[in-house]
Amino acid sequence: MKKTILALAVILTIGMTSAFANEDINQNAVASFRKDFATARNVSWQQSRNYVKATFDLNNQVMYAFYNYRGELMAVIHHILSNELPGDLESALKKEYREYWVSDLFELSSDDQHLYYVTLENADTTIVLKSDGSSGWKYYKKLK
Amino acid sequence: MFISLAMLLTLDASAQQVSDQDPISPKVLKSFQQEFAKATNISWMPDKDKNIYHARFQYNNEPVEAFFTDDGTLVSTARFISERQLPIMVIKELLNNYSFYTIRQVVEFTNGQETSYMVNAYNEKETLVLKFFANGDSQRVKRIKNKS
Repeated sequence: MKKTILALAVILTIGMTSAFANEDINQNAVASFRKDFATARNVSWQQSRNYVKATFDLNNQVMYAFYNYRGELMAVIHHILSNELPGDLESALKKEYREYWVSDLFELSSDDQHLYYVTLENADTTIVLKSDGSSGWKYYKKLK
Repeated sequence: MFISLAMLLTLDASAQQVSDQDPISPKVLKSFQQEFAKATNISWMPDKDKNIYHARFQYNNEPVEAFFTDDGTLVSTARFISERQLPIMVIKELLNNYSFYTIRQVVEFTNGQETSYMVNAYNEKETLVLKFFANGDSQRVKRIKNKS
């Protein structure tokens, strides 16, 4: 599962729109989604060989839910602002990465993990950090 | 200890009285300054019976509360957040299981090991204090029936 979560994070950080084709949507995923997010609005579906992705509004926020073909929820992702991070992570960004600006920030939740990924840029470098929310930011990958 | 700190904030924060009469331990002050160097509008609410020093202040333009023991150890940090700032799985649980409640207050607690969220929610019958973890796991901390 951790490998899969990692793959989803990579898809999101490098652009996911090209990963999906228009095919009939897996009904196991659709049924699970309706149960998991009964109040979701503006739902649209995409699917790839391995995942089914629902894009939707929940609580006036755009979110992405990923299901496997058995209809199991693999992860939910949504973009957030830096002031929506847990307080210590927001402070750490401001203290330790002052020379960068935030170009992307999202939260990824699954049954067994809750992670934050932030893309930071300066004139020369683009890096991605991740955190499990309790142990600060860790270097994840360098994009530039 | 966590629950009692959380209850301080989630049940009746307005009832707290700020005290500036008891001196704050130098160790606590030093620790506070190290942790929150840019804090402004600082108020202290020391409670020696519980060996806890409670500071309320502004940090990064947000109201924050921090709890220290008298040896300067930062026990927990709390900040009032909006429902929108809750983790996805917590929002999902609230929408699926507490849709008939109105959220009155959300407090994020960080203690260095974990982050949790105390949600005060009410409807016409009762008020609930719920503790959530980021993965959506929850426990009901308190249930208070409304007076008829």
